[in-house]
Amino acid sequence: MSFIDSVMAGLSLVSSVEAFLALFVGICIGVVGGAIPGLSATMAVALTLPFTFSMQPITGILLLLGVYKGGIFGGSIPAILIKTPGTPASSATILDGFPLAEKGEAGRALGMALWASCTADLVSNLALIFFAGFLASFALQFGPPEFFALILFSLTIIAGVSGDSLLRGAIAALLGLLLATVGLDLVYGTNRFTFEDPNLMGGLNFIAVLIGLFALPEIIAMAWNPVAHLGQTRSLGKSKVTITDYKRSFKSIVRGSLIGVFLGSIPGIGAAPSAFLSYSEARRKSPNKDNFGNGEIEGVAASEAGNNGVAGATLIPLLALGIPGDVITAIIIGAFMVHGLQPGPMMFVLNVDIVYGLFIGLIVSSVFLFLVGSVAIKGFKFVADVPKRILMPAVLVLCIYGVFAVNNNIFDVGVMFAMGWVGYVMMRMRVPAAPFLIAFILGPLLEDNFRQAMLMSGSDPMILIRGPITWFFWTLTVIALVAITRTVVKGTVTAGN
Amino acid sequence: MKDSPIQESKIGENTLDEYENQTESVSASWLRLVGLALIMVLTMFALPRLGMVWTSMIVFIATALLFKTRHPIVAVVCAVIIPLLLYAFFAHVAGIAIPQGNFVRLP
Amino acid sequence: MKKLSVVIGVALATLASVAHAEYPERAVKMVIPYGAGGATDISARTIAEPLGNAVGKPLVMANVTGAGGATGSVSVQNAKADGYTMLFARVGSHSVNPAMKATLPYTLDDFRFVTVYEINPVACAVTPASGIKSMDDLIAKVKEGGVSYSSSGVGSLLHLAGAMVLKEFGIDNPLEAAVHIPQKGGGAAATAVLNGTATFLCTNSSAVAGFVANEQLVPLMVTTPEPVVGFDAPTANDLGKPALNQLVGWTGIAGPDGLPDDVAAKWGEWMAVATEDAKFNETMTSRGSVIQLMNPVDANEFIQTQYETFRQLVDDLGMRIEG
Repeated sequence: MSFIDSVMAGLSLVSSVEAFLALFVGICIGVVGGAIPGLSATMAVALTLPFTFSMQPITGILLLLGVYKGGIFGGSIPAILIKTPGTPASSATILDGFPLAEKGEAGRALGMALWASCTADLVSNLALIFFAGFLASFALQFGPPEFFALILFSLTIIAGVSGDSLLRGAIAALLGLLLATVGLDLVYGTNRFTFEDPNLMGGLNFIAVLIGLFALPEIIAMAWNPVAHLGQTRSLGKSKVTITDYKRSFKSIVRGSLIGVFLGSIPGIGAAPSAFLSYSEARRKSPNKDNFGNGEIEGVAASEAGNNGVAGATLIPLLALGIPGDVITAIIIGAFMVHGLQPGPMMFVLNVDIVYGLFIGLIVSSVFLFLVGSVAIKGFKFVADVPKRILMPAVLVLCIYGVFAVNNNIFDVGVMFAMGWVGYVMMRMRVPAAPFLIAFILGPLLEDNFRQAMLMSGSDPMILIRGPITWFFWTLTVIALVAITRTVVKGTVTAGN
Repeated sequence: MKDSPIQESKIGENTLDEYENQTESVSASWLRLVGLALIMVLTMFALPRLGMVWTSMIVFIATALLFKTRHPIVAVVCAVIIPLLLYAFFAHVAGIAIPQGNFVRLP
Repeated sequence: MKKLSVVIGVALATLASVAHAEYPERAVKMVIPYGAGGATDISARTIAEPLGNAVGKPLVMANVTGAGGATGSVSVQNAKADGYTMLFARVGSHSVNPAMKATLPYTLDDFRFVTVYEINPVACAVTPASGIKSMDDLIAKVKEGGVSYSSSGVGSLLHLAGAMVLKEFGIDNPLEAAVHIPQKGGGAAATAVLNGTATFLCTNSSAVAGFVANEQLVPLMVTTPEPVVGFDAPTANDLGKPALNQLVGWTGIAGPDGLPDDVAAKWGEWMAVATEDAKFNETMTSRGSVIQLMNPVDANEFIQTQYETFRQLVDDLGMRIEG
């Protein structure tokens, strides 16, 4: 079947009202679900899954993909407005999005988040359509040693999000690594720091830590001084994102999208590290370096491009290899299976119409996302105008519900509270939260892949430099370390003068 | 970070709500922190016993009072409505088993 | 305070007795101890619809994940035994884990099984690139050395399955002859074989059915006495290893230990109705499951036997995790 035939077959599949309607409804569900902290894109997809069983395969899958894409964008809305990431992927958006909201520019930040998301989404979808085969075979080259090198390099992001003090960033990262060790040992299955509590055996819940670390310190700070916010302009106002903003951030958006595509096509990394990597790269390259973390619109653009760039690309290992790259695609694969479709190389032969139908639907989804997102921003606008001393208790209650819902476990609410105090102390001591979070996400990945690599080689460290991919990331790591050292040394010299 | 004491007092000077600030002593701030910590501990105790909806209502009112809100009536109204709305959404739309407690169960 | 607790006690007692009288009078919370999209989750959500109709009250599904199913299991172990909190128990959480982990916060005695409704055959698979075409090839490779197998984590069915299969095929010390490379989750375990991190894996046939259909993986054996549709591989019995028939996955429903007899009996009736549902059967069978309904007595015996087989193996090989 020629390319044109395939496209026509795909078109005939999706050219029904239901397919597009499902996609549209999916995006609406996703944006709302993603905007509710704790509900997150993952759960929104899981909740929608049963409804797809009775639909046509293409319609059902488009519905789920809509929820996924909407959810990843939706997460940025509470991240910007109330400093609570709706979904883990949007935690990088907080770094500059929330300061912008505090300055009364929530509208601008949200607008940029939407534009960056849609652009990245489009890039990601195009990458899926044109390079799926290539990227998938590349992704299969990634064994534990390659992962180890990649994650080691990613840890250098910490320097990029540490703010003015690298030492404070390092302290935060150490704390994050420490807390990430709680749970079961990967190789021996023994308990680590669980203190005989079965609730700790599974480790600290990621979303509970995330929300505790970012949202609760704001609430605690309000108890310390309930009137600190008065006199600040915190309304959405007329602030809107402009073409100039978009143009200025365009490079970062493209870079972020590509980072997203790359990390998304490798199973097992996910959107949050991608957003942080994109953010720290944007900061490194930007002329407004110092403004990052204090409300730099480019920071929002980079983070959102980084996480939405992943959304289309995670479908690459899914469709081309049948491997789910993250939890969300693991759920989506269930929808394929229920309809008797087996994602993988054979699908491009046996069900080529479905594959191309999906491609067409995905392209349209970027447009739908833009439409739905614009409406959602207007709808959530009022949050910025709610008196803060009413808003904060509401956020607290929302967080309690949301964190419970993640794993149906009251213990997680306690984890969130405890992490809130940790976050508050860190805030008072000016220790940044982002390095903590990055270490908390990447630490276990680094450890697991290192130990898997050691098991593979019988403890021979040479396996860590076994091929070109590892060499590439080792080189990048060295370059990043040299650059960081130079900045620090320069900073010390300047301070000395 | 914007919460350094110097900045805070600066912002305070610029506000119109003169009766509310400036005279604030640091010990009152510490007391409120302890109060919030207490609310959180009690929340953990109450969640499995009272259920999430009723606990949330109390938490809402308690924190709003702790923050010395200027809109106490709005706060109480929100304190009742928001947990109920969240319950309706999480329990009935999202199908999540929100803890109900031992006393009054919601449909 | 004392007065209050008495009042609460009485209130609870009345509530409990009322509940007892007309069980079920409200929604039942069904804990799924594994994450969304996993085999247990899909199985549970597929039975939820016909089962909910049979129960007549809503079933609220609650995924409580963590520690290989332990977190969710503990939450049911500690729940009131009133039949309003039930657990979807799985081979990993309720026979492999108790057999392997000394520090597990629960034992089989803490639960009362009301049914086992699904059996999942286990299949062993390798990549075509490995050049391994049969179990004999694999065993020969193991004897040469350098063979590894992946699992979804320590104490998972996959972990035990790899060791058990090798042992049955005459490898005396499988822990040393082949390296176990644990991964995080079943998806990652299959990926590890696909990208060459590990040589083979033995897992639920449904988890690798897609890869087998796409010719990315080659099945070497299935552990059931009957062949599995879509798997062009001999059964354990064909290869003369009927002992491996014990090595199957299953999903069942359990309550806390003190579950009243009439509640257990009711679940037995409901399950008999629910598993008759045509759509449920079709969906599960197409995913490679065998629907096999057991009453409470049979279910307990089945699980005990499997547990003891596994426990024996774990003790023989010194696989028990004490720390």
